[in-house]
Amino acid sequence: MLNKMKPKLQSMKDLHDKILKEINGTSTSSADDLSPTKFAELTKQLHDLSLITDKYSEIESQIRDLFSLQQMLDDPLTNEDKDLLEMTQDEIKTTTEAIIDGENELLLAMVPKDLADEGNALLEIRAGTGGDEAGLFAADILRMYERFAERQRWRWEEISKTHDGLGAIKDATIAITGNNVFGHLKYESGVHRVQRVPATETQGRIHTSTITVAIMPQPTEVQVQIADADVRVDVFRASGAGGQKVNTTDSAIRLTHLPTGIVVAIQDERSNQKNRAKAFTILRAKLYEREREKLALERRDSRRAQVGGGSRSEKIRTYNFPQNRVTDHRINKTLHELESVLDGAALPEFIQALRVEEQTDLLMAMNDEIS
Amino acid sequence: MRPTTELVRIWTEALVPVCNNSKSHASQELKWLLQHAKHQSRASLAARSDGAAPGGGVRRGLSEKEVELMQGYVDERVRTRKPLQYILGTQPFMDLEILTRPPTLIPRWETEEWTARLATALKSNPLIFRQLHQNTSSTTTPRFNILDICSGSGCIPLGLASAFPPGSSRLFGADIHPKAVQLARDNTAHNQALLNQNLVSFHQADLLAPNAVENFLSWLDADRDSSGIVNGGTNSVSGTGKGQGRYHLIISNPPYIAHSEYETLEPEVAQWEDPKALLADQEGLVFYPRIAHMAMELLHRQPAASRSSSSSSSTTFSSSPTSTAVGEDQNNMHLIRELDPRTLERIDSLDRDEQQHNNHNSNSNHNSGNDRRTQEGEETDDDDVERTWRNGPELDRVKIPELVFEIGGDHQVDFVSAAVRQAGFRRVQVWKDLADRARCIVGAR
Repeated sequence: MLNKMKPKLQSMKDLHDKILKEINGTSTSSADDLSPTKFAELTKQLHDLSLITDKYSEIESQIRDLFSLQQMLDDPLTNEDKDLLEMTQDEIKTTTEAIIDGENELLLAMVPKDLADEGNALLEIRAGTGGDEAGLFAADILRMYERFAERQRWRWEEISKTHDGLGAIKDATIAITGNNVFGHLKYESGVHRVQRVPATETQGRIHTSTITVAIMPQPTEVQVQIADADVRVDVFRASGAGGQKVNTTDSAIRLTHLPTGIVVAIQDERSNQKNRAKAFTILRAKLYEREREKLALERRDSRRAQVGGGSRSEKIRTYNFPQNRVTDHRINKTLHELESVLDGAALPEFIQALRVEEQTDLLMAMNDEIS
Repeated sequence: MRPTTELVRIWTEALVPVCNNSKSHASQELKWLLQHAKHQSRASLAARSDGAAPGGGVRRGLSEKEVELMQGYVDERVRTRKPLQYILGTQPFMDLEILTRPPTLIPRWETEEWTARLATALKSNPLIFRQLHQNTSSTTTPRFNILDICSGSGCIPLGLASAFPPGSSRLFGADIHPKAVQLARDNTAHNQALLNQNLVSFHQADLLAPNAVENFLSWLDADRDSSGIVNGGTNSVSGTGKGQGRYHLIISNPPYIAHSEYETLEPEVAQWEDPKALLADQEGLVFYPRIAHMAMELLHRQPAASRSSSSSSSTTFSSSPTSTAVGEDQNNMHLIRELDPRTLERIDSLDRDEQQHNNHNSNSNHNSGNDRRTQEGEETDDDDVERTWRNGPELDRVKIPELVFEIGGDHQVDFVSAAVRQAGFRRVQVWKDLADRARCIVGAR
């Protein structure tokens, strides 16, 4: 496999050297060849590339070692000395193992990274089928992510929440800010299913209900710029001329993004300026998501990873209360510690397994691409 | 006690008629009332210090105390039509929490919207920003001074203060009602930490009093003396001061509802808010010409736009360093000529004590289009100023607002913009609100 990837690795190495030259060039020549942002960008790129190229150089030298060891082994003189022969054979073995490990590490490092992984995310939860029970489960899942966010020391900001005042949630949108939020949570998008006996069920029957979770990377205002003319803003309209004549408490705001038809409505805050700001945050994330999906579609051949790229309507996980288990259907992994998952403590086990699965998928895709 | 689910259902249904018959909006009001009841009961529990604060989980039922509070709130809301904001005691305004108490006018969303927009417009204007910047570092130049006439709860000056650069401005509010002044002062204290060290003060004053202008101007000097922003000595002149002890911006959201409209008001407004803060004679228009003329005396002699770019002592307007100065009177005549004669008559009848501009009317007819010696670009199409309604925060025509009026709607545009022009503001712009209604008349000299 390594041989097949040689041209790609070589081009990465060339790029690495080129960037290095460019950065060094800046420090020696006068000043403003590179802007500070460009400089930071290049430094980061250099860092990422050097992880790969250093590893590659290491493997190359190990291969050279292996080659000379092989020559030694073929040498009749070596064969005469029993100790030397043994030593050489041992070294060939360890070097070969080191090369295999190194190749694996190299491959993982080469898996294309999603820049959005490092940033913030919006979490959207919607109760699906199952009535009140789905709403209560939506609240459970919301709490699970809130606990998880606490453990990660992320900031949790409620953008909107529709609930009945008694614990059931119809829908909720949360802005989560911190390190690698999207990278951790992106595998959570999809349909989550609960199987349990609702508190209101008198005959002890198990009900199945579902909720939908969506995780979107949260773009900055620079990444997604929305033209004023593209958005229609609707507010509550009193029948008269408004102003002093009317004291409405209806502060709902509805944004319609005319080019895409995306509609965002927010009514949680008592100030429609605040509702408006929140609605724009969501709209920006939706437009960003749409753009990303479009890009993903464009290069969707063998490259599309199975995990994390699945559709929103895909059933990804079941929480079975009577059996105290949580099963992730994408990786067929089951944990028999439901409480711990819902407390956010065991959630990383799923996330880690899903990440490995995704990397494997990506590596296989890379392999297909090369062969 | 009935189960909580049942109570929530009953309360929501009771609120529907006072929530524009919208179930979803009734749920929202109920949510806010519940939050308030929980907050209040927790506060009273904490006061009794029995330590047994109820768990924060949403799933717990309501306590007896909370049910009692809720029943009171819903009853007040539905039976007496008490506005939600008076029950909750607050209304968010920009980043502030404005206290609300009857009968002082509750801040409206339209006012919040345009105040935020005005703050953005002033902040993004390089001329103002430089001025603000210079003023903070200078001990002799007054800060950016703003006067809000009919300030009510104080939301406008407080909102602006919270959005302006730190220590850049002084904001004054005037209201005739002592209760409003007290509330505005309470609001200043309540939001003090968010005012960016901008100085905000409220005063009781009658804008119709003969000495109103002197009174308003005296606050600038009094405030300066007492606060010690300016080192003393040369600033004793008031009223006649040359660019000192004057305002940079006059704002007003005066009462603008006509008496004939009073019966159509919903009970939340008519039965709870001060009629003096709502109703105005002359179809709701009586205060505008008066305030517009007062503004001319309250503002710095030199318009804001030219102050920092030119040292000229005459009254000139230059929208940019390259534009040519134009005689103010000529332009006034042109604007007056365009008015509907009936509108002019109404202004005259309302405003007999301000006659000095009227003598231009006699030769206004000769002032045809090519007499308008307006200069390049934007200033040549003054014909459609009034109809050029814009929604963006950009102030392309009114470079720096010097007078901002909230108005009652589209029906008051013609009269108020005419009154503003007639007072001497040569650039007039209409701002629409998010509901697409004319909400502000903005003027600059």
